[in-house]
Amino acid sequence: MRQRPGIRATRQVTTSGSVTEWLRRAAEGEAMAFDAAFALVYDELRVLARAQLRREAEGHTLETGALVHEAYLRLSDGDGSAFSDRSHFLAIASTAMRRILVEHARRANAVKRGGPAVRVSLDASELNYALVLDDRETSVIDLDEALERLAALHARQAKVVECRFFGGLSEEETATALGIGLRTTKRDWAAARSWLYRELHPEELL
Amino acid sequence: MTSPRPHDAVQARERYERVTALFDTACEVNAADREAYVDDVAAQDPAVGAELRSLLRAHAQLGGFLEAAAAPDRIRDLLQASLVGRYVIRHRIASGGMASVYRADDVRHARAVAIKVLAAPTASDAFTNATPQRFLDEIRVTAALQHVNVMPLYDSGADAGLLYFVMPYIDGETLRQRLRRTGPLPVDEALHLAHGIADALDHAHAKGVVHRDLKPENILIRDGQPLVCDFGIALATAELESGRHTQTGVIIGTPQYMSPEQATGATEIDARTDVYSLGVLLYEMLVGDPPHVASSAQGVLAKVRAEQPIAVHLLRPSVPEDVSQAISGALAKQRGDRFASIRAFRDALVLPAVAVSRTGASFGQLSAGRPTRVRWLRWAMGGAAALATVSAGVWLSTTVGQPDVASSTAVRFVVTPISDAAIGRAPSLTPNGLAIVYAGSAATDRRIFVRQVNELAARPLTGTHGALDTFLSPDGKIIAFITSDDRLMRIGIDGGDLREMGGAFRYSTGTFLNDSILILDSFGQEGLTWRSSNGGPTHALTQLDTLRDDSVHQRPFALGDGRTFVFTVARGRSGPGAQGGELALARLEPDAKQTVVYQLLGIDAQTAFAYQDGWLLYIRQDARALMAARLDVPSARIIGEPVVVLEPDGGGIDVASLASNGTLLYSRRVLPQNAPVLVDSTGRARPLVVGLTGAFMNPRVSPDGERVAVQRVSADGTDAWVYDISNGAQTRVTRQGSVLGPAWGPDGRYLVYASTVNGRDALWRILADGSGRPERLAAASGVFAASPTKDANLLLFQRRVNGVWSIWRAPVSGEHEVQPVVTGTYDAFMPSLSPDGRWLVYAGSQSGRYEVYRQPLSGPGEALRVSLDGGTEPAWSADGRRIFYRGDRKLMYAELDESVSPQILRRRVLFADVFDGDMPMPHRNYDVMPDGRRFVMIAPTGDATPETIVVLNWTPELRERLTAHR
Repeated sequence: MRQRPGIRATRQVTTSGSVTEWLRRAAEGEAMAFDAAFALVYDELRVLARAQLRREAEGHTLETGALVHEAYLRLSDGDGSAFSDRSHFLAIASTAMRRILVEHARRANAVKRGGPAVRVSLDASELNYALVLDDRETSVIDLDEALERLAALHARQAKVVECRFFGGLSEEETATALGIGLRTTKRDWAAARSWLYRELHPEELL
Repeated sequence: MTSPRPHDAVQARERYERVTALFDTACEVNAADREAYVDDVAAQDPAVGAELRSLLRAHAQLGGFLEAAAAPDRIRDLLQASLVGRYVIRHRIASGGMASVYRADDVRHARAVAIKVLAAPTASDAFTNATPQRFLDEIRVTAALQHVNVMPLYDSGADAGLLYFVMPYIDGETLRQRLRRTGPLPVDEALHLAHGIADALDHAHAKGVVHRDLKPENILIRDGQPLVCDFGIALATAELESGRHTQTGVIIGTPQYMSPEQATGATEIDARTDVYSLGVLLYEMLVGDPPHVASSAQGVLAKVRAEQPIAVHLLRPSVPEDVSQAISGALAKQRGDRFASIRAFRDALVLPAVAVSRTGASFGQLSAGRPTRVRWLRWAMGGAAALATVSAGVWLSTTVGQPDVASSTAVRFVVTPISDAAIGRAPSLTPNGLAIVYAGSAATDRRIFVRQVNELAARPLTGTHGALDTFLSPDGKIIAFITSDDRLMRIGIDGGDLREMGGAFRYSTGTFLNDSILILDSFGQEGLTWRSSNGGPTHALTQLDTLRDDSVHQRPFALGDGRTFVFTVARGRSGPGAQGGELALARLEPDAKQTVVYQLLGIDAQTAFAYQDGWLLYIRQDARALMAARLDVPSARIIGEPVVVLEPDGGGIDVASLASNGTLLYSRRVLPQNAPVLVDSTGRARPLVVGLTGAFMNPRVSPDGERVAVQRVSADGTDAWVYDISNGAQTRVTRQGSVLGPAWGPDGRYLVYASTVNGRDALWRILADGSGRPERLAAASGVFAASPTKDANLLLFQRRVNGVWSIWRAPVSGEHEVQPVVTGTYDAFMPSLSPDGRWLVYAGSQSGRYEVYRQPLSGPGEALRVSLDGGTEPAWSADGRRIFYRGDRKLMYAELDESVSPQILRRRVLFADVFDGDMPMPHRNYDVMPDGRRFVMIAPTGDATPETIVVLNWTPELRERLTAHR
């Protein structure tokens, strides 16, 4: 499985310092700060996602957008102030959400194939269920991989999908998060969806 | 699509940027003008035009793809608002096009239901051609259908722009899901389902209701019984979607299941349309694919209208001919030639055991129903011709007449390459000989493709990116494959049930011993291993015989009894990628607890590939002939002399497979073409020497950065060559033909390399300008690649001993006494010395995967792990502060400072390393320029596309050869 290098290495760094601080430093171009901010947001989102799934009745879909916004409130609360860089937060949170969903899907798959005898609570399989994107059974994992390929062709389009789909951001929020125009966001979203659809469902495109 | 080279990647990005811009414009122009716009684009640049067209087609079919999940579920909210108090809407079960299905609770009756909703995406699209009332009238009729095989309709209604239909919630799978999960169904099961569907249709027809949209998605299977869904709803769906799609001018639907009269746009549809569609369903249940497949909707429709499908029993001999004929009868183009009623068709679908003899079947089309040979020929004629037109195929099938199916003549052809699904590696036949499975080329992301032998189209299997080698289960249902990131995966041949089975080394080969056990070689590390085909731990299976100097066991092949297998044993240095060895036979008993004993068979081979009637078929070690040898399995002995059974011109046979229907497939290797390139720190590449291509490996930059030494394979063998970067001048430095891993001496005057001369492995030295004679330095078996130290007194090198790589040293002068540096039970290789000569970096597998380690060359000091998530091929920067390595298919570096703790300051990815090729090499395949910012790498310039040859009906020829010999 693809690993994202660097995250584990910087995990210990993140025990001190607020997200706001890390985000500010990341915005100033400090590469390690990005990893640190990412790790904090990622952890927070993962906790929230698990809690939401446990709370909700069977079959409820995960509202990723709501989670991202809740994480935003909680993390900024700690500072007693709003982030100076909300856009940066949204982009990072979308990436983190993507990772959480893909990891969950992988785990759910592992459970389905009778993998390690780890008891995975209902939430993992439910989450995977919620992410059956359509009746053509696109898996999150396939989408994730396809998105990686799209990123090689057009990084911005892939980012837009990450924000819209995984982060649950609206078009406006996506535009803010990525620092691009609303019109560009819409165009990227349309083109990227078409590209991904073709990539994931070549058999449908007769 | 990713591309193999950065300049290609840049081109791909630029092209995609252009296509995206055109796509934006196309979306903005009027639907009416869009086609003309696309045609204009295509006229200027056909490739871009095609890309644009396919994106637009995808766009037209998107529905709520991704968006539905991205946005709050508007439809669910609307639906819940309409049905509040009656139903509690749960989650969405499925969605596609304009229909979504939700699971819900029926509050009044306390039961679980499924609600299908048709919704127009925007108000302006809503039901332009008809009012909801019309659909509801139709629904009312269908609601009266009461049959055990008809999905009941509880309720329906229209509100807030939504049409909804309430049905029981059934815990089952659709026929589509079933086909994806298991592939073609057993004959009796398929017939049983067809009977149930026919009964449902018969009931509906009696009430005057025609289904019109039978397809596997509309058949639900519960407890083995079919339930036909969507009676009446089909009409609403079709109208809604056609209303939408006449706007965009794109055909949608499922043309494969349309009757010819539907495909020609006839408005009168009667019960015989359902007869046709049930024929298609049954065809697909038995064969795995519908009768007409093409790469475009237009292509399918043209075939539906004009082309006779190949009869089912020819594709699947176990289908009784009566059944096959009945299906052909149902699939007749003219309604008048079909069964007059669904009941008549149903009654013709019987298994022979209870079959009533029927004579004079009245289907006028049957005589033209078997254009088998014609299809083979057409396929063999070449991609361009066959892709060009459907009409050519039609012309052939109507003019060539009936082929002689029973002919004993073998038909040979070269498998036509399909540009977007070219064969990359290891094609093999499915056991029944009906399809070819292979890993695609780099241009296709190396996905696995399944190509029916009688079809031009190849179907990619989703989720199989990076597949390198594939092997099939004995029943042909499971494909196991190894990916370029070293995972062992499996997937159903139908594309379902993708799973990871664990790690594997990239170049492993394997075989299914039976449906539940998979044998793999482990790249020669510990002999063969086995594991359950459901995953789980790996068990040692064979052990390298160190007394006999076994270096690798590979290419296992199962004989088919579920226990016995043969494999090749290579000896001496022949490390990973070794070509062939002596065949050996062994048996895995069900309760085996330890490694098995194997018996050598005394014949050398590349690999065995078939075992039939007591004959073991194998590829001869020189790869020039297919051989057969009588093998007595109980005594593990070869009887008599092996016989040449096929000797194609040119040799180079790479893989072969023989199917149960007598079809033979073999492929011939073509040397991979690549080129040394100079890559900057962003991953941009340019050729090192313009116009130079060949088979290169292991480039090494001279200390002054002006020349590159590289190992090059040519017809004369493998030698060291030197290229001058400034003017491209080339020098062939060695002529020993077995040269491995050339490295520069510190002064840039000579090269050190490993070579086998007269059967002895040794390290050698030679002047880099090619003058003078080679001088032998240290002799050591299994030596590979050296790295001279700066003071030029010491050589550092890797060896392969007992199947394990280890790192050794020897003085350049004097007695050349060889001493171990890093040895263990794990691999340690690719040594590289720091510029100051104090530190050694290498790749080691002590943690269970390959990681880069650094340790002092001499004296105490622990190994410091440099890489984090896997790493190989370490190299130093000239200032000794950075260690470059490959990990996660990227080129990365770690920055070091010995004076601080931790010593590793940071790790960075330089660029996604698209040059991490397919060549099995336990050696660093790139080098760093002295400036530490540029790299010499080896870029593939073309895939080594094997030439694949299929011989239909080969067995009679084989028998003839064997009899003649006796």
